[in-house]
Order: sequence, then C-alpha cells, then structure tokens
Amino acid sequence: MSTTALLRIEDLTVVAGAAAGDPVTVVDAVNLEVGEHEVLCLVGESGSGKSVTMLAAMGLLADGLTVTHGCVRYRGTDLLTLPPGRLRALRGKDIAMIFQDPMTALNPVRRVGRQIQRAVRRHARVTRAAAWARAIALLDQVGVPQADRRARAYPHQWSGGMRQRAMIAMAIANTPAVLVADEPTTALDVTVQAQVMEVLAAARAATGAAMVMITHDLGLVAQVADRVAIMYSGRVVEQGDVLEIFERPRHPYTRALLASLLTLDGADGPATAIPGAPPTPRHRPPGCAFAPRCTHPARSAVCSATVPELVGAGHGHQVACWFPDPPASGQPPAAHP
Amino acid sequence: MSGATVSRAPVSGATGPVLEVEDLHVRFPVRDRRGRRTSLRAVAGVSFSVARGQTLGLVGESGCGKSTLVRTLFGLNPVQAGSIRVLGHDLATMTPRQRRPVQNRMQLVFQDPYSSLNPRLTTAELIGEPLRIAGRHSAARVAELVTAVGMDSSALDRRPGEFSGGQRQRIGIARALALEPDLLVLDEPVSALDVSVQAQVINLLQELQQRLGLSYLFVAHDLSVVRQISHQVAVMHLGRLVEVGTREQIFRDPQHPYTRALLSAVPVPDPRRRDRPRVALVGELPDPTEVPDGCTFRSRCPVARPDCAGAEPSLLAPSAGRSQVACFHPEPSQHQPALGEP
Repeated sequence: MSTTALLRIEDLTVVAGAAAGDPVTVVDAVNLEVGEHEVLCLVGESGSGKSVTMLAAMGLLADGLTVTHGCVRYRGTDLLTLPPGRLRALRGKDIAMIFQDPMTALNPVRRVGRQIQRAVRRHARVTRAAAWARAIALLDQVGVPQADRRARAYPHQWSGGMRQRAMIAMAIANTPAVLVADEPTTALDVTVQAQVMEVLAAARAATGAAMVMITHDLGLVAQVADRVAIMYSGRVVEQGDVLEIFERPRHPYTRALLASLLTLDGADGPATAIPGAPPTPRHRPPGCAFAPRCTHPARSAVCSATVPELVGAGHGHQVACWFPDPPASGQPPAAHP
Repeated sequence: MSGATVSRAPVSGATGPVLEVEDLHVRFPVRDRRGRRTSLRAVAGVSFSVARGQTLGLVGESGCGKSTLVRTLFGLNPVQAGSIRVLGHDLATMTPRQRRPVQNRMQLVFQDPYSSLNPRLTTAELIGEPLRIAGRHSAARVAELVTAVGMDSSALDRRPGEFSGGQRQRIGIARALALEPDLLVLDEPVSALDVSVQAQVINLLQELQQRLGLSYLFVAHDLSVVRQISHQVAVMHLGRLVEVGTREQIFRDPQHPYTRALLSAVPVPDPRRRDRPRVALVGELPDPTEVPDGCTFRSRCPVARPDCAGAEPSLLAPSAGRSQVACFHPEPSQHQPALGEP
C-alpha cells in the first residue's frame, strides 16, 4: 500500500468493559488506510465493529470502550495521543462525520441554520452574519429548496432526507479532507437514498474530500467504493479494490455475503443463505470467527484453532483465511494436505 | 424440519381468495396549520385480494399508508368505507364473538423481533400463548411448531435475550402459526435482520408456504426481498395503489413512473454498472394532510403533463398481459434488458 495515506489506522484494538474487569475485544488489530480523494467502504453486519473502529479513530468512543493498542495517523499525526484541544480543532475541520440518524445527531431545540452556522464559526474566524450566509449557501449546495427560509426551521420540521442533507452541509462546512459517513442512508427510503447519495457525491467532488463509508449495503458499496474492507466479528477479513472484491472475492465470508444478496435481476429459486448468525464479541469462537458458519470444502482443524492473519494476495488484495479461494476463477479450491 | 407436520383444521369458505379488501378508506382526524379540524387521508380506495397459497408483496415508501393498512386489517384503525373479507366473511358485519374465529385465520408477524417478544417469557410460553388464549394448548403442539420453524427443541426453555435476531423472528413466525392461520401478514419481517440472515428467513417462509398452503401479505420497502418472495406485487403511493401486477409484470415491464423510479433507485451490486440510467425523482412525498388535486404523484413525476392535475387516475383493468396501472401516461411496453434477462 502507498505511504501517502491520508488517514491510516494501524493495529487498532478496542476493548469493552475493561474498567469493570470483564474485558471483551470489540475491534481486534484492525489496519485500514484511506488515500487522498479515495472512497473506502467499511462493510460488515451488526456487531462486526465497523462503527466502533471509526468512532475510536475519531476519539468519539462511548464510555466503557477503550483503545488498548494501535494508532490512528492523519497526515502522519497520531490522533490517539493528541491533546484533546488539538483533536477538537481537527475534528469537524479536517475530518468530519456524517451520522446515520440525523434526528439524534441534530440538536432538536436549535434551528437547523443556527447549527450549521455554529459549525462554521467553530473552525473559522468569521462574523455571525458571514457564517449564517455560509450556512444558507451550504444548504443550497446540498439541494435544500428555499434554504434561507428552511434554515430558520427546527429539525423536527424537516423530513428525514432533508435532515440528512443538513448533516452533509454541516460536514462539508469546513472543506474537510476526510468524511466519515456511518450508514448515511440506512434510515431513508430508496428514492431519497438515491438523492442523498448524489448530494454526497457532489459534495465530495466540490471539496475533494476522501470518504470512509460504513455500510452493510453491498449495492451502495458497488456504486461508490474505490476500495472495500470487509469486517467480521471485530476483524478485517478481506480488503481490496472494489472490482477485486466483487469479482474475485477470496474469503468464504465475502463470497457467501455476495451470494446471499437478493437483487432485482437474480435467478429464480431459493436464496443462498449463510447458516447461523454472526457471533457476539463475548461468544466469539477461537480461531477464525467465521469457521462455524463456513462451508468451504477445505475447512479444517486449523480454522477453529488459530486466527488467520490478514496477508497480501496480490493486486492490492488482502485476505485473512487459511484456505483463500484462488484468484483465478474456474479453478477448484486447492485441496488441503 | 423433516417429518414435522403442522396439522390444519378444515376451514369454511376454503375456495376463493383468503383476503379481499375492497375500496378501503381510512382517514384520521388532525388539525391543519391554522388549527382547524381536517382529516388526513391515510388509505384512499385500496382494493386487492390474496389468493390461497400465494404471496402478495405490498411495496411503498414510508408514509405511503402501508402500515396503516396492516393495522386496519387487524381492527386497530376505524374503517371509513370499504370492506375487508377474510375467507369470504365481511369483518364489519360480524359481532366480536363471530369475528374472533375468522380473525384468527389471519395472523401478524412484526418487523422488530426485539420489541415484539416479551423478554420475560420462554420460547415455549411465547409460542404457547396464543394456544392458551384459544383454549387448545398442548406441549406437543408447541414442540411441533418450534421444529417447524427450524429451531431445536432445546430452545423451548430459553428466553428471547439469548437468541439472535433471526432466531427471534423464527419464534415470531412460530407464534403466528400456532392457531393454524390461512394468511400471515408480514410487516417488514426481515428488514431488522442482518443481510446474511435475511435469506434464511425468506427461505423458511417460502418452505412453510409450500408445506402448509399459506397465503402471505408481505409488506416491505426492499424491492429485492419482495421480488424474491412475491407472486403478485402491489405498489402503494400516498394511500393509493398505483400499480398491481404479477411479479414478472412489475419487475420486468413496469408501467407506472413511480414503480420505474423505485426500481431504478435500488443500487445495483455490480461496480461495472455505475452509470446505468436512472429515473430521477425530485422532492419527497407530499404532505398527506394537503393532498394535491389530480394525480398525487405528479409533483415528483418525471413525465407529468398538464392533464395529470385534472383528476386522480384509478387502477385500470389489465390489458395485453400487463399490470393494472393508475396513470394517465403509462410507460409503453418494453422489455427492459437491464431488469430482465442477464
């Protein structure tokens, strides 16, 4: 991987309940990086640790969660050892976050325009009037009709799609270098989701920001990602370029996930289900966490004994599996001695 | 699951549709901006039927009235006009005492398997509860039901908190099946589940349908899921059905611009198909307290013309093997290769 990563997460480990004397590893030695202007999609099911990874990177972990290992470098600076004041100056300016649920992320008792105005003034020395004008320009930019009038309304008077536009306006207010979007369209209807994704793409084009998008929706991933990291039970199990992941997936979990997708033009017949359910961090099995659900023909005792490391598999592709499927299609998986 | 048979009692009115809804209207009293009394049009003239052993998928965005419709089927909202017939019996003309056995033929599976199961009850108690209320509880029947939904009998003594979302939804399905219904109304049954688990539940529902001859009214916003399970599909927009047809008709040859927009908004999981053409919609659902004149979709419609403001289009009878559509300017027939064959 390149040495010019904008944001690089190295060996990040997050533990829950350490203070209570009952530690459970929620994020386990995760390595990720995002280059300038790049879109990285972080994919996983609920409890895979994808949101916790990014919240840890931004110093926004909830009480009870602690980083026990690793570092997060933004342009070379380790964010985890940065004094709180300097981290606050960086967060919202250089790295901005778009949350899943704009209703809980926006302050319900402040007018929407006022909240964006405040985000502007937090990081730039401008007058209130200039910041208000900037807030309206930003709302206009993300496609809020009659922005000057709507800016005076409260969040509950806005629809879900419009609120998410306001979140995007706030996030791009200080032209950040990295946007972290946590399931930005999950709460929205499909036609509104399409509109918001277009707004997000336009906002990125205007600011040149890189983006880490956390999602479980592989359809969205295929539409926006440059690179993809697949997480399962606290670990990255596979990462690579979007075409590599969709066309030459090498981890059995990625393959199963892609096979289980229901589409608008798929074949008829029963859906391909993955047996079982993802383990909770407390009940994570030893070895490869996916082993109990894995149906790979070469699966063996080593899978449930030792955790496979994430190793390079060529073409910038990395996989954490004892028996990764061969990169060339058409070949049967290699038989294990 | 093999060998487990869920027995079914004979039913009166076993021929004809299991559920028939005709010209159903539901309105809620609200106050407008100036505080005057007015009413919100939640369901406006909806008609459909669900045939025995078939699945009708009902799709629409939030606020379209699909949840109101579901609640109305179970008597939770007052009906303004229209009729609901279950196995040929009109629910409105029956006394509560007469209604009970008919209403039991139709059971609801909820969206959220976390909040819809009492956390203090064991699986056996949860599944047995409807049987107790109906006065026909037996441990054998509970065991039969838990096996029928693909769970182990060791699950019977455990409580919902010990199960994953998929397992909980299986318990919800077993509970709904306890009184041997003919129809399950499934309100977003997989949208709270992880993608890897959704397919399991869909497969279970399809297998149960084949084995027990069940009918489903499957309410969802996820078009890919609806396509997987439905025989017939109804598309709802602002309280009205705008298109009704077979699965093939709706997904391969949609006529209503709203259906076409919904289909084209679904992201395709293929990174090589990023630039496919889309039917872009502007704006969002209009305020249901101030429904515009004429076609209620015209403010967002990419092909709206002046005459769309005149009257509200109603569902036309199907012609030439195409769906029923409520539109003055339906899309001419064309088999879209993008949505049809690979």
